Amino acid sequence: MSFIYEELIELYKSTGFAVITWQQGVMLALSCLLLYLALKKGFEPLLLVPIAFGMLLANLPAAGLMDGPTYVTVDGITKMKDPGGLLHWLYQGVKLGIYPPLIFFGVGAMTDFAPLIANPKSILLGAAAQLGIFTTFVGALLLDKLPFLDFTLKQAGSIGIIGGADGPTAIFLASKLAPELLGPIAVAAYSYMALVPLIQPPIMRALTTKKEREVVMAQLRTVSRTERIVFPIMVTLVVSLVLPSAAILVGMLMFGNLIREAVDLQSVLNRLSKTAQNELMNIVVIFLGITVGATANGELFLKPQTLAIIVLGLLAFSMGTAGGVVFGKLMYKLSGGKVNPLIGSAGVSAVPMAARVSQKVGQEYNPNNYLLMHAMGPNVAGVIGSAVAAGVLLSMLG
Amino acid sequence: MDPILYGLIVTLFGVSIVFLVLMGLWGILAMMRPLFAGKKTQAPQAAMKSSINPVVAEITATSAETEEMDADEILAVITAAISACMGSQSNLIVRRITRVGDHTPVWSQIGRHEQMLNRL
Repeated sequence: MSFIYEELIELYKSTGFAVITWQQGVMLALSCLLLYLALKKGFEPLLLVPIAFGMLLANLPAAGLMDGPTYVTVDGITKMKDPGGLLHWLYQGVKLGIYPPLIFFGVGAMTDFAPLIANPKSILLGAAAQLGIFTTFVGALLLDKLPFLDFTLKQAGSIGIIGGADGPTAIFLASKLAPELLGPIAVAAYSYMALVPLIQPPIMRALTTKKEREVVMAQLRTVSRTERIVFPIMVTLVVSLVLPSAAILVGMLMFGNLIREAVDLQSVLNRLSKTAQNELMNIVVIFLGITVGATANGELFLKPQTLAIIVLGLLAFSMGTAGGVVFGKLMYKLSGGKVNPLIGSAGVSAVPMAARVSQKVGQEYNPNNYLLMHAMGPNVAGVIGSAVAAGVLLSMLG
Repeated sequence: MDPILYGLIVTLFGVSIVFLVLMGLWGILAMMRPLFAGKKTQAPQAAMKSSINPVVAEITATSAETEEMDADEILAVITAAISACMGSQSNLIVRRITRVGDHTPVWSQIGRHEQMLNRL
């Protein structure tokens, strides 16, 4: 009988129940909460489902899915003892900065830059909305004065980029500057992106007058095919020559866009365009999401720093929105009332959610007002702006 | 150097570089238009501007009147339109007309709006 008892004890010891830590328990509960928000409430399900499930897998006790390989040296020869977990190997795509540029490639193939080309001055709204990145960067450094928080310059820069409202950019910069904060930063960035329709409208209303919100903008001009094709090549050259550190993100974004626009000239490119928009994008999203979620290890995640990142992320989004709207007001004044300041909030990227918020708030005050395409200009400019801001932070802090 | 001071320097440089790069793109885009926009896209634009403004002005001026328009007139127009569709043999009696909300996705609304404006 004692033999059976000992076997049962051994069996129990080999299960996850025997070795689970409280941090892992909390993380498993948190991953279930995120899955609920993504599946039931529709919070960015495309990314939050892989992230939450990656978090769940990485915190399974004794499973070792995120463990690296182990080696043994016998007679002076080093051999691999254990190849490590699957997620560890998939994570190399994040660590080496491969997935985010591939996502940008797909985003470029899906983005229509025509509203920006038709109204080039709206690009400045995309620049103004990057204010959130830099104010949060300084805000994170100021938190150093608190006893339990101590963000380095690199960590502060990675937190600030949440204000760019651009998931791949945030992941790219965090993986380069502060990989230890990748999990909380990715979760905060994607959670707030899902909350854009709740975060932005009160700020937009607070900073604008009823008269400004009712401005009807003139219809955008038609953009020629040549302009659409020259645009990605020109942007790649200009941005990469001025800021080489932004070349990878902007270059891949524009490569994807060139393929999309060149389909009109060479229909064979449609195959590449479709692959970039669908199959490749979906595969990379799965790998990126699940591995970023897997970095949310209980021991690293459950710290006061994470709470600070969540709060700073909200500040970043709010400041970015405010920066765009205030600059929109400036353009309203300078243009003699032809620009609706509500389109400024779309400068925070989060394509096309932020542009839809501008449209929705505008239509609340004037049902005949169609701001969507006007807001798409700053919206796509925000993607370029946040990539440039990431390049600046990378070159100055990296 | 003090991290906060360095952070402020990074912020100053960062904001300046982001604005300079995007202003540079603005300038190039503005220059690109006369080179690549083509004549076809410019001519309708000029015509459209002159035609849109009066329409917008007219709508604004008459919107108050429209709200106060006799409901019976609207009912008569809707009834006439349905009768015309159904043919003269139908014994159509309109008992109630209820306004329903527009659930068309915003992207479709924009597309329709642009199509209409392009034909003005």
